[in-house]
Amino acid sequence: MRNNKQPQEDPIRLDDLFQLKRQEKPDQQFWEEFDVQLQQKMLGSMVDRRNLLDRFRQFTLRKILPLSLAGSALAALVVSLSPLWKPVHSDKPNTDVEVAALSQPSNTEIESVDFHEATLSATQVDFDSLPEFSSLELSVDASLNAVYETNGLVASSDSLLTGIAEQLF
Amino acid sequence: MNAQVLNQAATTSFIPVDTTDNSGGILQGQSLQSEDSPDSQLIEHVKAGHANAFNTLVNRYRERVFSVVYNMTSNREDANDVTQDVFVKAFQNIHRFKGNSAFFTWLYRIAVNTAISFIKKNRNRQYFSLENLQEDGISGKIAEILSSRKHSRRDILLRELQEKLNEALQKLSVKHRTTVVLFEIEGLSHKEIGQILKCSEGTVRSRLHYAKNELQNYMEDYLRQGFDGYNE
Repeated sequence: MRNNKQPQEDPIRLDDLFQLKRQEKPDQQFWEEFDVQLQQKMLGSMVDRRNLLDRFRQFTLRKILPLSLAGSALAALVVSLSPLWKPVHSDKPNTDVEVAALSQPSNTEIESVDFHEATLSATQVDFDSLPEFSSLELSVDASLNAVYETNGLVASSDSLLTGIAEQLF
Repeated sequence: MNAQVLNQAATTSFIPVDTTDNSGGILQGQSLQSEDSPDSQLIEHVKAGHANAFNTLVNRYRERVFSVVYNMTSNREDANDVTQDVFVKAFQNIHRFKGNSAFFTWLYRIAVNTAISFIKKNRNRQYFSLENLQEDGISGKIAEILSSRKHSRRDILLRELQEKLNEALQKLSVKHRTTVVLFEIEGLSHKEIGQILKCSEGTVRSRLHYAKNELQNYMEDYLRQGFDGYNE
């Protein structure tokens, strides 16, 4: 092959290349195969779409419909029975009086008691008026004083119990 | 797509329709076999359930759609598959076509979007499978150069030029490549390209300018060296 080193005077332009590109065309045989393949694809897509629709319909009938019916029935049952139910206990106040009572500041104050100073002598009870008891003596074990010193809550609860016992007897 | 279209399409073949066939079936009493029927009329027939009318639309636009996809992918087998997908999509969604734009604009938009999706999915798999060149249609400077070559060398030169051109096109970004293909190869106007790509005419012009500059740069060295090497 001879190699001519002379540069071309009129180089190829980009438009010439585009013109070349436009000539890239398939032959008739290509289009015949194309038509057959396209037909198969379109039929395939239709079958797929039908299958999809059928599957959706079957899924709806078998799964969603029974579930939704059951859910609706349950919801109807709950709604119909709900007036019969009364709350046994509620944390929320039901009446305005209760609300007012809860909103007021508490007047009760826990007084601190020095149990070292407190008199813990036995309480004498007049049992003459209570014939069913021959005698009753309430005493507080001195050993509890140590507990009371460190635990005010025990002390207060114990004093509360003592108060109750006094009211009872 | 309604059930009527489905049922009738199932019995339809994509053989070019006979314009004189008034024998009956789904085409009875219809003049939709005419290749000269306007797109709008054919579309109405397809929407009405006459799937055979879609054959005419396929025959009318398959080469142009294939050309767009082929020049975007530079692979004839891929272009074949994608073009078929484009027509399947068009058939399935033809009820959505409201006639606000030309049918081919709508079809081109499907083609471009399908091709772009395909390219993005197969970004790592890129090889050329080039279409045959019809030498009869070649004119201008290239034809002049080819005429001075022996037949065997002419084929080699054309093939190489074809490969280089496709290679250069593939170096462009997808949006620049699409714009060049639609304008320079398909011959669409700026306005039509803007409608298809959903961008302004100014954007189309800008992309064209940039893409052509890039292509010129890619091809410049080859055009100097390559053609000189084949001079006899």
